[in-house]
Amino acid sequence: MSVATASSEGGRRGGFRPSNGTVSDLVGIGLVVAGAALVIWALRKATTGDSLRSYDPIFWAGMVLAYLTVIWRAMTGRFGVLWVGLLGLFTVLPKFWMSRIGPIYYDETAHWALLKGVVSHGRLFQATPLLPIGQAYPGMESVAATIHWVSGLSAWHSALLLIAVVHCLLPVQIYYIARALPISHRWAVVAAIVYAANPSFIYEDVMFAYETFAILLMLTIVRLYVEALADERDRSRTWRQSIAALLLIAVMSFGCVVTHHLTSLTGVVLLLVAAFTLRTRAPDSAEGVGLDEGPRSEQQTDSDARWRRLTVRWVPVATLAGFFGLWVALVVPETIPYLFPHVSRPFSGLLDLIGLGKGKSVFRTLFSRSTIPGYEHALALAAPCLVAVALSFAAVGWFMRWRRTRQARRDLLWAIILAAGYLVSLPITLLPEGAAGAHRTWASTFVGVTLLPATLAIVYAFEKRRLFVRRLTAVAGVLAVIALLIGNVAAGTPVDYRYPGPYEFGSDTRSVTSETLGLARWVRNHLPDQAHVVTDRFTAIALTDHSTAVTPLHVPGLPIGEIWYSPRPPTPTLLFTMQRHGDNYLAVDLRDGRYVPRLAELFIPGEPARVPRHNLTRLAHWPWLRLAYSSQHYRLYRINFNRYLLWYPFHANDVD
Amino acid sequence: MTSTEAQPRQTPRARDSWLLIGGGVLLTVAGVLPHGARIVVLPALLLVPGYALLLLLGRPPSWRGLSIAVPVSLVMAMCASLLLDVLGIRLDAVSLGSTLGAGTLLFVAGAYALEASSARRRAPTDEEAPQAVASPGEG
Repeated sequence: MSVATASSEGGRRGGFRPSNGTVSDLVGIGLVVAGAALVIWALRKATTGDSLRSYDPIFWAGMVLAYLTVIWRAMTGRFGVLWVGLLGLFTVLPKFWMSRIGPIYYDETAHWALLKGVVSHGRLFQATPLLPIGQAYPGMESVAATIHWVSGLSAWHSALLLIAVVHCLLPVQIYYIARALPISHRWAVVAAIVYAANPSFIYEDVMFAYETFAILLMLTIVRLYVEALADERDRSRTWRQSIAALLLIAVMSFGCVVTHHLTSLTGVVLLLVAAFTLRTRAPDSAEGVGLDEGPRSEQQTDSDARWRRLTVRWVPVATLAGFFGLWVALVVPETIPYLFPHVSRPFSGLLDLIGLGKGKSVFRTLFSRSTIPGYEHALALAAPCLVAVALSFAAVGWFMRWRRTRQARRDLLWAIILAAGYLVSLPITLLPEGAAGAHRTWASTFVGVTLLPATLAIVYAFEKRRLFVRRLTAVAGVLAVIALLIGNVAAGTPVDYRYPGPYEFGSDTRSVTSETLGLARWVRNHLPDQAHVVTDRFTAIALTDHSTAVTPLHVPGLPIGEIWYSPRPPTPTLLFTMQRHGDNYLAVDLRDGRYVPRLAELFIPGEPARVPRHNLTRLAHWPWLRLAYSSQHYRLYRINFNRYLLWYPFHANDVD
Repeated sequence: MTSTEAQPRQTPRARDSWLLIGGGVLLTVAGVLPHGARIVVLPALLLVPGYALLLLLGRPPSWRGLSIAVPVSLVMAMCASLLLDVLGIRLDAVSLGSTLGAGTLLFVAGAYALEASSARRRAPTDEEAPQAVASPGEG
């Protein structure tokens, strides 16, 4: 009994009754629109500064209504894939509503700066201090800029359109990956909807950042690969057809590599695990058994098919890995030192925790500064437990009931390994050094989690159980998806990234006020294009988003944080470097001396808790700084480097 | 070709090819269209280069192929940008539109050339011809 047959037969006897009518689809659309209205209502309430507890339930009511509607229509209606795509489109709503006039997250601010550079210069490989490595991965910006130029949309709306298209297709690719394994339509829909409940799906994977686009390319590669293996297994293929499939995978691999480093790497891992686990031969194939017994022509055919299957299995892995290796070696060798700390630091942190390292590492405290409601706390803790329980049952069932599933066991093993990878990454997020890296693997490893329901259904033969059991399973499954959706978002995304709100010092998304926009407007109107303005992280985000300024960051070679924190005047080394880079302006926010940023650092991790207030007011007395702009909280100075050279020898030992 | 795709009949395929050619032409002239009217090129940009490459690789346009054609179109846009950038040509509506349009038309032409070449290889020889005509169930 093949997996597909078992599932599809059972599917017809499942707890859901088929409902194919146009009226049902129209009702479904109405319910999704109602869900969207609830979400927008919640977001509008958040803007007014109401308590989180007053709008968070409304938000989740809207989201759950839309998810339930899509589950209903996709599983029982005629247009399952379209509904899955609609879910991808619906889930851009919260983030797009917040960023409809411009980027709001730190990463997308960096990519917005890159896109603006590409559009204004008409050349790729533009640089931004906010994300130096992004210069060498211009894939997403090149596509967004092409949409802008060819369609005439504004640059930001082109970026949003690109992300909407990408996000709409993410669950669709998961659906087709599942179908190619092969899993029945119903369980493939479940896989797609579970993917839409992954921790990054609603916010992080909607931002205008290179990994968002690369995830689509990576999932498309995986889909094409799994389909190519399925075609080798289920259909008679020719070399020409196989090579055409490989060429398509190669094109997509090139696109993925040019877009994002880490997603390309996780793509290689996904393909590698698939190459070891997925089948290219039908289970009852006699190939290899009677090779020496048949006529010579048949031997040649079998040998030819074997070579073709080996080629289809391994060439895509080698292609993606090879493209990545070549791009890193020839175009951007900085990728290795950029990525290495994301691996080495969590590893050394783990060693420290178990006492084998040289340092002392500590776990981050869960929800230490979070204000989320109690039900989100509970579901955030329950979500990984649900995945762990499902994985345990799937793995045990896979081992214990292999006779029933032996035809599909290798295909299911792929899902089990990936889901295990997801679970392993969760504790790493508790290490301060590992959170960012682990977070970025979820879009890939969660593919395994999406296939767990189908794995459970197959190994425990849900579809053969009594109707009552099937209905109970369906209800439990729906509740589990809702728990995953709410819990994963609550655990993975800070509240200020989820909802708009009143001004909050030290928040990437809530630092912009009308006063900030006034500063940005002045910079845009009065400073030269691409003027370099040295400032703190939050003012840098605002100026990058809303003006053409370039805002250098604190790096080892340019320790601009000294201006804010050091009691002494800035050193000549720093000023010489700034002069060499053309960093001619300095902008400060006087609130830096009054408040402590709660969610991110002003410059670097481990900086002093608060900027001494006098360090900001002293700037007005330094003759080499000329005040160019002043508002209630912001001061912008033009730096006169020559006057600094004359001034510094007499004030080098001044201590404020 | 994917596992559930059926070979389409000749007529829809010919219609799809004309749509692809029309899309390719639209992309080619995108740069000279008035700015406000360029939005009509958007569907062609998102679909046509990808579908044309799929056609070249032996995958006739289908609804199922939509979820592959769109990502492929986006990668085609990326490749066109990189190519022009490497050649030192300034990126804008004219250069990108004409490159993508020309690429699309090239892919469609290549698909037909490959098909014609395959048909020639499959064409019956003089000795086989009467037998081929006599074969029942063809057509």
